[in-house]
Amino acid sequence: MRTLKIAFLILLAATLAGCAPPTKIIDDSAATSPVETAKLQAMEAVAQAEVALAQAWVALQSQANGGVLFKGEVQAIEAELDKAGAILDEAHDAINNGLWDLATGKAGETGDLADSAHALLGKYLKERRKSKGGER
Amino acid sequence: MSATVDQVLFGAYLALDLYKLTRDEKWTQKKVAELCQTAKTPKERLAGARELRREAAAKAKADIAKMVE
Repeated sequence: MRTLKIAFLILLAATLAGCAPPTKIIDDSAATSPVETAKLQAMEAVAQAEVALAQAWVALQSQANGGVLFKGEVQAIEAELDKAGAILDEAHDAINNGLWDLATGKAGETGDLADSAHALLGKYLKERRKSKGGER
Repeated sequence: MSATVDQVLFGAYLALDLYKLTRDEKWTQKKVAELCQTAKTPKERLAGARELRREAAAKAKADIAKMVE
């Protein structure tokens, strides 16, 4: 029970740490026109999505290193993250072509994919811990 | 296995996951701070963020490929 209490406290600390707003990468406060503001905000959305995706890759690597996940599961999550990466590449093209709204929309799409990859990771980890057998 | 041992193991797994989660978050925060230091223009920062994702993906893929060989 003591370990569970400690785990709960760590969970609480991590949750609180996760509540901190993400560091702003591209500041739009110096924008001189509404168009420039829209452009910088779109760039910020894409940059934040890039960082979130980078973190998702690092998390997958950490969990895969632990040897808890099966090969097929790691590959399923990799596929989701790759899809998100391809959409972000399109978002960069949209920015280069002046399509700010499209770029922002694509950044949001990748957020949904990253959530789905994260949900998959959580599901697999839970399954593995329930059934301790099986071939990895 | 007794229920208590199962609970303790579950707690240990949970603690390990959370440790990894916070460590990974710190890594990202550090990288973003470095990016904001080195890249000054919005364009450079956006390109840097993309590079960060590509590096993380390439590193993870290479590591995973080694593990599942």
